[in-house]
Amino acid sequence: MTAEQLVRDQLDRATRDVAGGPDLAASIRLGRRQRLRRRAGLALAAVAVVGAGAVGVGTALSGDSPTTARDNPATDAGVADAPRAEDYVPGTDIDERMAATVAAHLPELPAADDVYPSDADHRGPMPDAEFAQATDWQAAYTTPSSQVLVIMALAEEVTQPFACDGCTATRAPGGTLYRQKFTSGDEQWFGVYFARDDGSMVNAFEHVPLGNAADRVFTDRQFEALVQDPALTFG
Amino acid sequence: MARTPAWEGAYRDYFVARQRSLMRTAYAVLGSWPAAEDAVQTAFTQLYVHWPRIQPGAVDTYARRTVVHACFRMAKVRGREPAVDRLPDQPVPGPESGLARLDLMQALAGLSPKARAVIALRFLDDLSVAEVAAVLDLPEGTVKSQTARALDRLQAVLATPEPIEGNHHDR
Repeated sequence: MTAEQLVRDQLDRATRDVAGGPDLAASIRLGRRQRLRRRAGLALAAVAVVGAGAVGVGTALSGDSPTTARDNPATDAGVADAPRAEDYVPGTDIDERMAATVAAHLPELPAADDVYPSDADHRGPMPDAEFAQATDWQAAYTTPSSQVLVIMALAEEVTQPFACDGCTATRAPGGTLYRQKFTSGDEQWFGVYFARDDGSMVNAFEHVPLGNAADRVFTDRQFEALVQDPALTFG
Repeated sequence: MARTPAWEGAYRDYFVARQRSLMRTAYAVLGSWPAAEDAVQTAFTQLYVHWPRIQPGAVDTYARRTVVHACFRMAKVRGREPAVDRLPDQPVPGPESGLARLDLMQALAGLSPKARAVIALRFLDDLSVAEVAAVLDLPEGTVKSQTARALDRLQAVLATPEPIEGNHHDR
């Protein structure tokens, strides 16, 4: 028997009785959260073209396909259930109220993948326990053909006058509506933003693979109604 | 409407099919089952994050690379040299040399993490030189030389009254 074969045999014996192992549910839960953060980081550069007003709003859309989700049996089983009040962040009802408002305007959406607090220091979720310090809240969704992100930000998050490169702007009661289309990597993005006169802001994004604009589930008009909903505020 | 990505089922299947094998590889590199579990858990999380962009034929290479690099990070950050767990107390069959009677894991502890990874990938995962090179991002020649040196080192450490004729053929 050669040294190689002896090493093979010894390695096989020494590692045969595997003790412990990774946890699938934990891998998926942590993976989903990291995907969300990663997508937020990728998106931030794209959204920067929107203007200074969006800086710090860690958007969670990117070129990756789906999704992030809180673990629950229905979600993991892929069950097509109607959106329901899910407590994404314990200790506050901002998440439930935000999800309910979005669901009322966009009933085609499934339940949110995640609703979470964030701020200028986080690209994506900040720790749930720190929700009281949040300067924006984000709700992420996955449809069969696109991803949707809704962000509501406090005025303090918006540190400079809003400037939206390439946007079409329309004056609306209480603020200004902006529409924007842009590409990032291999994704086509559609954004509708409502900059309120008080400085607070609501952004809604949908993105699809580049060249698949027809896969978009929602219209700008639906997004415009959503972002102007006065219920999308907090603090 | 779909609530989970279409690819997640494939990820789950892969996890179930491969987690044991990757645990063994990580253990061979780290010498500790808890450490191996941490490394493989980290690797599977990363695998989830990047899964949609991994070519189907490259998943194994990607997974092994992620596990091995997680092992390297753990070994470096924690300053962990293989804290060899209690090994299965199994008799070594056959009348072979003393090498087989000795504790290979203790011998591996004397190698660098990269050398242990080379040994694990070559002789536990049974990868070819080219495949090991792909996992470790090394030239094939480097893999060959590191394999030979690691085997020599193991032989030296595990030297017994019955000498072994080394055979370092590469596939």
